[in-house]
Amino acid sequence: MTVRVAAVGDLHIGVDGADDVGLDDVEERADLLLLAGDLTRGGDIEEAKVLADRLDHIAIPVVAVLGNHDHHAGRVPELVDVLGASGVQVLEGDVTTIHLGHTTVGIAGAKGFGGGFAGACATEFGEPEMKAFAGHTRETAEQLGRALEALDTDLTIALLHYSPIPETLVGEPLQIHPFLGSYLLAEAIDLACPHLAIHGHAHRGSERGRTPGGVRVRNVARPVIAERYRVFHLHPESTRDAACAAGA
Amino acid sequence: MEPAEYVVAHVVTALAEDPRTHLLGIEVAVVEHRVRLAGCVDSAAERTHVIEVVNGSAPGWRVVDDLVVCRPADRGVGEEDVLEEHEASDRGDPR
Repeated sequence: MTVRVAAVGDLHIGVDGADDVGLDDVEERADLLLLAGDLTRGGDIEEAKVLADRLDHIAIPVVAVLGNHDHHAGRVPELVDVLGASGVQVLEGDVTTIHLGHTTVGIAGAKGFGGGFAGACATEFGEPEMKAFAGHTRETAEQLGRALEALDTDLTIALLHYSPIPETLVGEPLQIHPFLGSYLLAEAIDLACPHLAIHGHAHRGSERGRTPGGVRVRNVARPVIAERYRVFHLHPESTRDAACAAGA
Repeated sequence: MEPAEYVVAHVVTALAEDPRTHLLGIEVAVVEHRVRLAGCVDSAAERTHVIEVVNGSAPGWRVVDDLVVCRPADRGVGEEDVLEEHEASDRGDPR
């Protein structure tokens, strides 16, 4: 069975934003919708209510991770409750399994964090602030890894806000790459070898890349795809990279 | 007059931190002693807030508004069949 996965990130919904967030027809085109973080502009509850209202009528499963903007107001639990009341499942270091006919789709989600990429990355050394920065990345990557490992489904997807690879950051200033993602996320992904990894966050980045282990990565930040959302057609039998699957 | 580098930094910071905007994607540059703004905003109201915040963070600088209102509903929907034919492009497609 082909599974149609709609995905978009960085909606940045504000209370004075556009009335139509561009997701009204998603259930006609896809079997599930993934939201790759930065759902709101500043993590405000009123912003979350605007989005929840737009998503409330969507009949397909909606799974999300939060982004840095969603954390800004420090009201994550309330924000998750508001979205949850509209049927949006928000993941943070955990998983969900969706049953579509005889096919199961497992999604492991985590916000991720920055830290940089191999050869140019933060380490847990020096000042407490630097240890906290690098330590948060390690923790979120470990959560993602454990979540992916727990999945036993026909299709598996890693859903992130931050990028696991530098290839999907091409277009962003090199100086800010350490704030846009971390190789630790890719390392966690490669251990489990999901069919697809999706992220947002890098508005000026690139659409496509692969982890060093061969897992396909897609940056679905709305400014990058320049579309309302992207629909990925996934086939359990054929889309897993052979080399990656062999090593998983 | 304040050096251009500091003006750009102050404007970018204000657009990110001001609750009226919380935007990181606006392109900000100083061109011929003017602060030029480019990129997409979701609505006319958002555009107004951006201009307000920029005027507040770069007092005395003239603002050139090259922003475009890109309503999400006006965009299309993309489709991708995730199969092996994307092998080459998966290795990176600089935009």
